[in-house]
Amino acid sequence: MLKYIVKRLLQMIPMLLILSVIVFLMVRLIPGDPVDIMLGFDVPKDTKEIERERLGLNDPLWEQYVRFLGDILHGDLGTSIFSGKPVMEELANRFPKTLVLAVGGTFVGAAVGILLGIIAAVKHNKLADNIIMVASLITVSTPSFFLALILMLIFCLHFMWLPSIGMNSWQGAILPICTLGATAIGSIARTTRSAMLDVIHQDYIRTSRSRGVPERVVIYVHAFKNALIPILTAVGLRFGGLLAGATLVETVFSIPGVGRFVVDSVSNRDYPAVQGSVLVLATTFVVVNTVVDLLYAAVDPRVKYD
Amino acid sequence: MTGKKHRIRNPILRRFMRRKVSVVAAVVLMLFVLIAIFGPVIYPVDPLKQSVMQKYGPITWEHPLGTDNLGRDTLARMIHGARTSLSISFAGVLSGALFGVILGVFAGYFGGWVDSLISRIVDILLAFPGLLLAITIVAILGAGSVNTVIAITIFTIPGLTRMVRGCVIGLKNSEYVQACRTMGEGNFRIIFTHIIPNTMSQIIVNVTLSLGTAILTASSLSFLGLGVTPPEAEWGAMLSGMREVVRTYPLGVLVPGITITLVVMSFSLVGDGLRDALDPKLKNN
Repeated sequence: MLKYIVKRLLQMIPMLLILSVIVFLMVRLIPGDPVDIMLGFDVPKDTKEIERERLGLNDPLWEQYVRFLGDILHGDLGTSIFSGKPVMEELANRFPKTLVLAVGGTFVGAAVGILLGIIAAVKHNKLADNIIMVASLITVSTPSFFLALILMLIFCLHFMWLPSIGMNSWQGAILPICTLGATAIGSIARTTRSAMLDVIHQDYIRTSRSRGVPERVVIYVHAFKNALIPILTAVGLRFGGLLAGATLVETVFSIPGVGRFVVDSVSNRDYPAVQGSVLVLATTFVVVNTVVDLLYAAVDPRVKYD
Repeated sequence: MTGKKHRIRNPILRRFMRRKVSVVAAVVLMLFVLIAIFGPVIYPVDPLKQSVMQKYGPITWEHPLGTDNLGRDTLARMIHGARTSLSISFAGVLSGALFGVILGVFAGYFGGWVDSLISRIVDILLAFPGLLLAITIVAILGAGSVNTVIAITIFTIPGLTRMVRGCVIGLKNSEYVQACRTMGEGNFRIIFTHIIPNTMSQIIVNVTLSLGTAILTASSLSFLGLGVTPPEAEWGAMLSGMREVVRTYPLGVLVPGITITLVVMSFSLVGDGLRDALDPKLKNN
């Protein structure tokens, strides 16, 4: 088991290295001179040359990459052109908010989605099943920014139960988290339903029933435990989607998170900030995927460790 | 022949027609495509014409869906938005599918280092959460409709490549392909006459489902101000423009929002229907 964990953790390294190469090359791929973009076109040639030298843009590409990687490992993601502050500092303030949104959304989506999926499987082809499947189709198809605005209209502007801006209190976090979670409910409910349907017709479930085990225990303990792998995969995959999807919710609810920061930085052509935030978000996604993989091994002894 | 129900000859169409929701969804989609093509002819109102006196107008005969923050006719903008949204999604998904099929066939059929290389690139592209990948591409290329198409193309490639690769690996070792090879058929002939036609049904299903995702992605990018640039009409951008006044003028948000949901849902239902119709074995999976 320990060997498996170490192996899986080591597999993250090449993935993260390639990620860093992509993020490093990102700015070099942008048409035009980075210095022109940073300083503007009307700056004298000498100033540009000094800036180029200062940024090390005259060095060979691999040397620039090694320096870039070294800086990252020292926690230095460069300086934001727009605010003049270190990107790391900007992200440190914003990342917790996005993480709360994505983790909270995943929990809401998983809790509701799994419950609905189980009900749909138990009531297979009955009215409840059909209603749940239609509802999940709607949640999958509704753009999160539209859902956010509708919920905001109902709960913040009409009933005035919740604040509509920011995430400064727990009340302020409810609506953004629920919106984000709602977008995940559909896919998780669908996966849970089909995983449970696969399991429910197995012999050992029939055996449990015939032994007189209460139906509730059969479904929620025996069947659910065995349907867990595909469900975990669906939840893990959704987490990454929610991490990026948080951008839209942050925009609607005016939450200063990483997602909003990426979008603002793209609009401001603040490339160090874009690089830093893309790196942080994608790294989080890679780490979460690895954790989900490790969880498989923990919940299902059938997963081989080699 | 009176009293006898007309029977559809084509078995795929017959199976598709059996699922009523998918048929309704297909009709809805066809309607939107027709609106996108002929709408501006039937309803020749300029989507860019502003009128300060008629801001946030209610539903009237003159403006069947009201007017927006600059007094522009919402119905005309929705019709032109259908053109923008649908053409961006179709162009992006179809070119993504083309690359995806080529890469998938190469990886699956030839195996070896070609497969390793393509599969690794696909893994990396899939390691980016969807919307973040699209935002990153726009960060490099800049906003605009053409770049949104490119973002959707790159966004579509990895999923299709992986699916086609899986199918091709299965087919490559099947007996009839082995037989073709024994009879001396060349690789390209086998690929084009046997492999691709046999993966076609799965490609069609995947493309249909991707179209829904593409509409969502394109409208999300425009909503964030990174997609289609104003004043061009696009559903996500229209919704974004009206979100400040959601309280006083909810119509401005509801019309594009419900439309996006309806179209995305229809693509999803048609995709499911096609899967059942094209591959009856996969049903209930």
